[in-house]
Formats: sequence, C-alpha cells, structure tokens
Amino acid sequence: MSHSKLSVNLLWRLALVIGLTFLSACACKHDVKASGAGKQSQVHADESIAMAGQPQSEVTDSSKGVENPIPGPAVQEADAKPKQAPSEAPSKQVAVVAKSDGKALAVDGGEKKADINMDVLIERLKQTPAIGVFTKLAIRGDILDLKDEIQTYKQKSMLQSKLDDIRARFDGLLIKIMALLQADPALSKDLYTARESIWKSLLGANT
Amino acid sequence: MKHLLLTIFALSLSVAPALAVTPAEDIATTIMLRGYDCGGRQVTNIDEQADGMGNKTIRATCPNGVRYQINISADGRVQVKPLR
Repeated sequence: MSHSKLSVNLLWRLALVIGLTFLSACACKHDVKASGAGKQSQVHADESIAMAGQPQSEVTDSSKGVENPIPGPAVQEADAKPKQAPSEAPSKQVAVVAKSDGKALAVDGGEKKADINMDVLIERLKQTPAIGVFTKLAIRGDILDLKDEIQTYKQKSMLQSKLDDIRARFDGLLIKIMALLQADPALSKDLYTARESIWKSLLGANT
Repeated sequence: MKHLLLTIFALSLSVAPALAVTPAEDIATTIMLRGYDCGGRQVTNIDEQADGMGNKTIRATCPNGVRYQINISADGRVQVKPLR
C-alpha cells in the first residue's frame, strides 16, 4: 500500500472516531434528557393521580408510552407532556407515516423511476470509489460482450428465442455489480431500481 | 448503549478500508470476476508492465499461491490467465 493511501485510510479512521465520539456524546445527552423527562412525567403523573384519587398501583410508566388502564383527565395531561417534549418527534412521526402508507411508497417509487437517468448512473459507476479501475474495466468488458451478443442474435433474427438466456446473463451481471457495490449502497439500490430501464436500453441500443 | 457504540466503532473500522480499494484488492477482485479462484481478497507480488501501444500486463500472486497474468488491452479489455 502506498504512503498516501495509508495516510488517507488513517485520516478516514480518525474522522470516524471523532464522528462516533460526537455521536456517543449526543446520545448520552439525549439519554439523560429522556430519563429526566421520564422521571418528571412520572412525578407529574403520581401527583395528578394522587390529586384525582386513583390508586398508585395502577399507574404505568407514561414515559414508555403505555396507556393507563383508567385514564383520568389529570393523567391524560401528564401523559401528554412527555410526548411533546422531544423536538425531533414530529419529523420522525411524519417519516413513519410516510413509510407505513402504501400510497406514499408507490408515489415515492414512481418519482424514483422518473428520475432515473442512464448517463448519470453510468457516470456514478465510473466515479464510485467502491470498485477499482481494473474491476470497472472487467465489468465494462462484460457489458460490451453482452451488447455484442444481443447484436449478433438480432442480425440472425434469433433474439426472441435467446431472450431468456440473455436476460439471465444480464441479471447475473447486475448481481455481480451489486455485490461489488457493497461500499456504495445508494448506487447499488439505484441500479437495482433501474434494472428494467437498463435492460430496455440494452435491447434498444442495438436496434 | 456502550455495547452498541463499540459494535458500530468496530464495524466502521472494518468497513472504512473497503471504501478505498487498493490495487491489491482491485486485482484480486478482477481475477475472481473472471471466474478464477484466488483464496483471498488481496494479491501480493504485483508486477506491472506497459508497452508503448497502451497495453498493460500485470502479474500478481493470490493468497492460494497461484500466480495470474492480467492483460489489459489499449481499448480496455481485461483478460486473466493463470501462470503455470
């Protein structure tokens, strides 16, 4: 390994360590705040239940979001407080709703399909650091071989009979590329999403 | 929480070098992509030669002891063959 690459690796690891330390510090603060809020809400709940005359044994931890079996008005107020406390909660809830909604997913998928640009995908494949130069050349050679084969079958008017075999080879090649792109999951996902468009362009490129 | 962070840290250390592919890893991947067994993810004893026509010849030894020759033509075609 060359000296420059070694130093880049070291720098990368150092950046990761700093990032993780920062994340852990944030997480610890968040835990402290959350536990503090939980304790406060528990205190509020205890006080309000005592005022409402409910037995304390029936109280569950409101910070965990478990519903009280007998929710009095005061308890409901106490339960409402911790739900409003974290500022990140609304955005997370929106995301969850969007994910759990089938229509939203379909719309999202439609937008992604519309956004697929073959030139951009090819450029991203060329630029990705997850695959080395020689491997990229080997993949390029495989794709060119497949294109040549399609062209040959077209000239012999045998494309329809060989379509299943060529599709199987295409799928195999795509799986190989996706396996190589483990360090670039976004590109891997986009390639898989665009597989039908790639297949059509591969067939259409030789017409 | 600590265990989770330690796990993430360990994973990040193992994933980090994978982002920057070294020539040794690249050549090993190319050999495996052509269907040859390499016995590991990195080759050793890399010997690279280029002629004036733009063709390149690389010889490398896999962890299983087999030495391979990789020919890269000027138009970017890659050919791998084991050396006896």
